[in-house]
Amino acid sequence: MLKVEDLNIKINDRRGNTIPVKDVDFEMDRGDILGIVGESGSGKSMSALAIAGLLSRHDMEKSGHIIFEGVSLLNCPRKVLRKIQGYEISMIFQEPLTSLNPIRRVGWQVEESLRIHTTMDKAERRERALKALADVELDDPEAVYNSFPHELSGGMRQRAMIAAAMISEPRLLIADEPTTALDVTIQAQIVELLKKINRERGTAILFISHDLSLVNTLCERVIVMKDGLVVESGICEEVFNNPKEEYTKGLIAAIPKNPFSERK
Amino acid sequence: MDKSKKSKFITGLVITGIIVLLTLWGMIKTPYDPYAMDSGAKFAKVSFSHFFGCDQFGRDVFSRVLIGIRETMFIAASVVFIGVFFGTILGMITGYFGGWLDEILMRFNDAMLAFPSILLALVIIGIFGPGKYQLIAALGIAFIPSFARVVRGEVLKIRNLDYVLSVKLYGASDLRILVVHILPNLKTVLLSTVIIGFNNAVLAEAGMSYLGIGVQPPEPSLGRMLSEAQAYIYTSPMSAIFPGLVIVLMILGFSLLGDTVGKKH
Amino acid sequence: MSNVLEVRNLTVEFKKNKKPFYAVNDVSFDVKEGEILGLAGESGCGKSTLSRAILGIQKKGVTGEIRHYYKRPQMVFQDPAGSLNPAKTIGFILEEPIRVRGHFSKEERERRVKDMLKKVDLPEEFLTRYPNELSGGQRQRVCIAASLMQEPRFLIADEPVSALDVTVQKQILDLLKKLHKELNLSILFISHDLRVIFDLCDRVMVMKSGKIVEMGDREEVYFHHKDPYTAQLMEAARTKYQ
Repeated sequence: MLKVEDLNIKINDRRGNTIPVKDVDFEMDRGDILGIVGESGSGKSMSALAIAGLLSRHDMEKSGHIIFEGVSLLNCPRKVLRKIQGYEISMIFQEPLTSLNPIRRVGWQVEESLRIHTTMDKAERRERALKALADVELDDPEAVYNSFPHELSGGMRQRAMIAAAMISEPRLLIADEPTTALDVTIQAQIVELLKKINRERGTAILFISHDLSLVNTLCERVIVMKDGLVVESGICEEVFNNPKEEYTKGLIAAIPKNPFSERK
Repeated sequence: MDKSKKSKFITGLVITGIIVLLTLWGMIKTPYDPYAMDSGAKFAKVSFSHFFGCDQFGRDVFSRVLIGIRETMFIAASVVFIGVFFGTILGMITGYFGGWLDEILMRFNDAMLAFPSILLALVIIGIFGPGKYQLIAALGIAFIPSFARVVRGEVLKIRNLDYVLSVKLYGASDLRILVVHILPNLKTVLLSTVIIGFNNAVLAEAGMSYLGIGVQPPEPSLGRMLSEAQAYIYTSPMSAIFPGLVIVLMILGFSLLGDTVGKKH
Repeated sequence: MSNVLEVRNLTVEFKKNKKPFYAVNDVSFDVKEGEILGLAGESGCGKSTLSRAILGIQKKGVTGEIRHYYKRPQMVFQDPAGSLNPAKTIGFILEEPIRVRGHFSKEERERRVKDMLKKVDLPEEFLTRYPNELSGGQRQRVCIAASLMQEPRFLIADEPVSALDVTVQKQILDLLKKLHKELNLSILFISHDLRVIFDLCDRVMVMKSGKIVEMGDREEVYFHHKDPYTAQLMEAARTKYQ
């Protein structure tokens, strides 16, 4: 479904040339959950943005291929991209407060994708939005629909963001550190929600995180990135239990010891 | 720095450089005595002997422009200095300590800001009488509130940063925190406000002198010259155009510089 | 064992839309000499307000008793970018805590700064560098070094590793452990990461909505808790870190 080949991103700015993403290759099938793990500056977010078609800085050079359902997305005209963006590929971000427009009601924002990509009328859109909000397990969809982002808690906002991303039933959901800004109890719930979405609707999820243990609980396969390069990739369990690369080993060793692992 | 920024910076630098050179020239020597009247050269045209021609009294306009730039620069710089100096002190104290002192001073500040600064300066000059130094004092005072406001806003932001809290925990005095730790971080915001302030001061001086309440004749300043040339604008447009052009160049040069300096951070 | 800090019935009250809001609500606890006491809680539970009240940075609306047994407790903050003055060199920043005390000569101050730099494993060249030339981990080392310059016996560390990458996180935690042992420091360690707290602390407090809902030895709080909120927190951590 998604194929990324030799993805390179170069930036030429006043600090000179940097290459935040080098020769990145990977593939995803429908219904896959793939994790990309790396520390800050590893190029993981940059790769995700490139796939979502959100990288278009003038001082940037992109090369390689990103092929989604047979359509080449990299350096393709904006017109083609617009049909796919937010409809077949959706994205959720780390900070749900800034990724929602503070002056619009949540419901309006959840519907936005339908407004752009479909000819549904107001009532239909509303119905779909309420359903989407209910699907992300928000207790009172009606109330959330009519509230402003700042009236919701962080967890609720992230759920609303997921609803907005899922309303068009995309084939691929890109989640860039979606739980990092949230409390542990909420984090666990959001991860469960993503699992459920994947299981019930078959949406493929590209999950970007710096948190290895989180990736381990959610993903089937994982890619480890460092300084723009893919250093290791494979089935999650294998990579975690038998890391081959020194870097991955170090990364895993650095995870704080899990106090719950020794006992039941 | 990208290309457009670089060219902006260089243009600004060249223009400002020319103005500074002219100022220096005016300080050392002028081609003619700017006050000497020559009835034979009344309204003389632009020529090699008189670059900018002569005015209604036969005084060399170029020499007067040189002196005028010097005067205007001196006034603008003094005004900005007064504004920045007292504005920074006021802004730092109100921003850092807050409380009732802040409340009183800032309300007073708002009241001052509500008047156009030129109007305020007019009132002050009404009290002290016209003249160069009165003008500097009047405009300087009128400029304090806007600087105070900018500095206060920045200090409000900085005073709650962790590094200020750390220094508090070391037991440093408030004065030390303000001067050693907060002041250096105001540099960037001060620099861009100084440049904007300088432009405003140039315009304000020109305006006040044009109205006849700034620099007093026969001493020239750019605004004064514009005002004097106005009566003869049809017979001798050059004596109005050149001072006006210099004002425009001055402001353009500083604005271009200010743009690039301000956005660097 | 004697205490370095005693807090009794500490309450911090804010006015929120004219209604009183208790960021910290009737909190009492001790920090014993040489121990690392963990404070766990989710965002908005009042952990940061509590630490600020203890250090006297927060004065408004604070009632109750705070008793320090040693002078000049220090603090390490979460964001290593915001806790270093961008206009000063590392040398200046490290010297400042002893400069303001005014006890030492210039030479003695410089010697102490160099010693401290060595203690936190940073090279001497850093003295002339500025904070923005350093990585996040290096900056946090500088922050720790600066907080130790006045030789405090008690340190509050407010989420000191939350903004850092895992590998860097581990290095900073190891450094804190080392310094704790070498200097016999008492630390109040605030974090939302239950693994980090378990790894580092002897005793743990759990805070929720301004109240301390559970307090005790590490094992007790993690595995034999009585409070339902603690149970919820531990369960979430268990599923997440499986």
